[in-house]
Amino acid sequence: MMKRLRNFFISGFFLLSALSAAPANWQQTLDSLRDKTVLIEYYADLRSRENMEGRERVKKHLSGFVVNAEGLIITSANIFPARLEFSGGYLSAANAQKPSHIRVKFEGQEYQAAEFIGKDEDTGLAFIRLKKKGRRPFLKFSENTKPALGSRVLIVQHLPQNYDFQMILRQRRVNALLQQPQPSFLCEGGLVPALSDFGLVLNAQGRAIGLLQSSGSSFHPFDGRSLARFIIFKQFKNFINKPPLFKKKKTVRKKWLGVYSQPFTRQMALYFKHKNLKGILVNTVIEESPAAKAGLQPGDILVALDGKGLSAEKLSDLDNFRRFIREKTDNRVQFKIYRQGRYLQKTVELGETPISQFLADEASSKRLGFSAKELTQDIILAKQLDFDTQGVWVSGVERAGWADVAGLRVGDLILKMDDKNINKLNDLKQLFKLTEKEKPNYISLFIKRNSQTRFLFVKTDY
Amino acid sequence: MKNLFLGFAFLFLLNHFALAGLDQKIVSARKMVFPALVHIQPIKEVFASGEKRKVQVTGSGVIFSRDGYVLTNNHVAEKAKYVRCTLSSRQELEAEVVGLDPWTDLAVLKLNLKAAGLKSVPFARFGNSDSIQVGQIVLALGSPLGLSRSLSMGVISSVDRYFDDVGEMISPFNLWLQTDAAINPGNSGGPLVNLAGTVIGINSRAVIYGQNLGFAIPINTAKYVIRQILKQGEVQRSRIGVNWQEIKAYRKYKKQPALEGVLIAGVEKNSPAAKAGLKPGDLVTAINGRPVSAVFKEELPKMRLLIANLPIHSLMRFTLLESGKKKTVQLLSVRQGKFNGNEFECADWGLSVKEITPRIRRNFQFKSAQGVLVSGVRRGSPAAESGVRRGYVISKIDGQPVKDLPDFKKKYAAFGKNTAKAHLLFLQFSKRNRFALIRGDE
Repeated sequence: MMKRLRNFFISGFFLLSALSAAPANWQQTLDSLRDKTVLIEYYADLRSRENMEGRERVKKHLSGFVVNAEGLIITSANIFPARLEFSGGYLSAANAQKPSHIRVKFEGQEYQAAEFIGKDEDTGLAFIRLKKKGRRPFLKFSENTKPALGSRVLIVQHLPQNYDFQMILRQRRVNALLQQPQPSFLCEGGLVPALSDFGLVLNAQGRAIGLLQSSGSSFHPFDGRSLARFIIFKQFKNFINKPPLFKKKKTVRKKWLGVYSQPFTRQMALYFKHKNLKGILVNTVIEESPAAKAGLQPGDILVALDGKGLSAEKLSDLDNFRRFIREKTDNRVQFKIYRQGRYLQKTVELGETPISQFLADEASSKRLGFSAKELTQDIILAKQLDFDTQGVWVSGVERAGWADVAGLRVGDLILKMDDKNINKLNDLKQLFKLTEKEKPNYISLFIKRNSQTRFLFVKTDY
Repeated sequence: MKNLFLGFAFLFLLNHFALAGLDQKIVSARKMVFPALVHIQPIKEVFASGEKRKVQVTGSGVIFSRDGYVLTNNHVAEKAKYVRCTLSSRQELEAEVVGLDPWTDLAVLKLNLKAAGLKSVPFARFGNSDSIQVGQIVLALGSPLGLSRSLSMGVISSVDRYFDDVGEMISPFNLWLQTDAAINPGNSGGPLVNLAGTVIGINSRAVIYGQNLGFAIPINTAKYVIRQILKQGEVQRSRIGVNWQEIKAYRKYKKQPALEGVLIAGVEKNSPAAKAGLKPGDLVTAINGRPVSAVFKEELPKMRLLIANLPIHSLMRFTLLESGKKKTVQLLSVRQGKFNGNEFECADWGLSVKEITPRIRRNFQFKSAQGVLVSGVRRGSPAAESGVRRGYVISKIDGQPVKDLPDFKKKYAAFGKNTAKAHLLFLQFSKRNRFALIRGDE
């Protein structure tokens, strides 16, 4: 009886201490994180379009935090900057490779091996896992904390190499609350150069509540120097239970409607003499996309989705719509559309977002000195090709290789090789094989560059 | 030792005399052309940032007839609303543009002699640029960087320089004379002269990051252009819609080192060539029974001219090898389209639009020639605020399709001065569209 009473008192004491919300002791806070925070070391391949061998690589570092007992580590998606899903247009880090030779290190310990699991391009988060099995301490995020404007937060990061990657703790205040592209919080970034713009966010009591977002990886690039942005646990909780898996072409992709849209402003409503009309204005319907198949047209105003009203007054309002579609679990969505004075209902079967050029298959010939990839939606759009264009495009040309000498350039579309049509990447692969067998002195390529076609004759060195 | 010394002295003397001779020749060659040299300062009307603006540029030219016709570059005279010319006598005259040929970068002006109280003007004589040899001494006359009445000297460095087209810098019909005589901006349109004092080229281009790399259009090219412009105000050319390619590498690929012909690299959709069944990869060996061949790319202009210089709607017979088999194809040429389209300023909206010429359509890979191309947007204008950008195609206004520039002008004019109403534009850019609402005053 006495014992039970004592237990009650003890738990009561703890409860009280939590309620009184005493500010965290920095030393204790940092010490409590040492076995859950890792320094990640990995290699990024410097694969250039002119060097097909791809031998160059560079060592990089990031911070990571252990989030489950099996050694799952959450980090920034910058560890693998290639965008895997089509987003319309050329992509800068398109040729980035999966990080290799990943090792992690807890402070004061030796490096140990880890493997890449996957990443989420909307939140800018990636996951790696320790290779060595075994249960280990992990970080528990506070479930329902939503920082108020002005509240204090602590940021945990590593210092750069010249400070021996020491952990650093900083106090900041929440300066702004953002709603798009997802609810997030702004605080001053500060002048201390941290290892990266990724980091852990604690509340004033020292409990983990969220993660700093890297500036480069979200859909809205952010100035990471003067302001930092963080998201709270709620937004990545699901990933910890079920991390995104990178399986090359089989990576599960998010839902896709296949339209470009713009805000339907109040001025537009007035123009259409329909003062109270609100919605999203579709301006482009991608050919053969789910939206096109369902009969959506440019000029349609989407006024409701599954019975819920849609509205976009400004560009950032479109993010909600976009996010809603991408995160949808089932495929079917019902739109209410305003089209030329009438309301229509349209049901769309959403598809999965097409892959970007990064995930496209590639064929290369070392002898001829070029590589080519199958056409993906992003390339088709960027090159203004017809949706059903057949062929492959040149993804790499070895500097001073025979293809380079003959005038082949990255971005050229290959329509024929030796008078044989190239419709699919496989056609090219077959012809590469045939070339190895027949050993001709020259091969011919019929290519399209911008608006013009021409022949290139590539010497071989058989 | 003494002999050696004598030898040197002799050489020196010879050199001295030779130079004295050259000196004389340069002076007299210049004298023959200098009176015909013109310093040209056109005031151009250009469209920039969605507005019509005026700019003054400086170029050079050469008078080639007693009654005051002047040859210069197209890029000097194009878009000129007023052309001010200064003769080498420093007399100032007005000139009007008689004709422009952007495809060769040549233009013909006519000096207004009457208004200046002149009956005639001194003129220069044209030489024969086909007989020019590399190494010949040449003089460039003109206004480099605006420094009028300047002379520079050099030699002919090459007589068959070929340049691929780069954007607006095109010269499909030219082989250039290259010279190391100093050519600077402002020399454009000025004469390149041989020591006989005849004009052999029109100085037009220079490599800015190089040194002593100037390029002149051969005068024989100009002679043809002048004849055409004086006859009909423009150069009319035939077009069949084929892109030609030299066969130097094709010969090696085919293992036929003596093969003659020209390779078809591309055929434009719906062109006479496409309709007649010409295909990329066909090797054309004769046109109208006359053998043709371009082994090197320097031979391509000749090939293009062969077709371009035929009268429009000429019946042409192509002999070709299609996958090794001989075949004859007949077709009718069509008229080559405009190089540059007309432009139009919509002052109320704050944008300028351009007509979509076949050339623009090809280069931008537009699916149709419908609509008008936005060539500029004024900052802070209703158009800019509505999101209209340069390079967009306006394909609909208030739901009504815009056919072409005249149609656009008509629609725009119909709005009149009524700026109260808003207008919804449907724009296309690349494969993406957007709507832009140009607000009204309401």
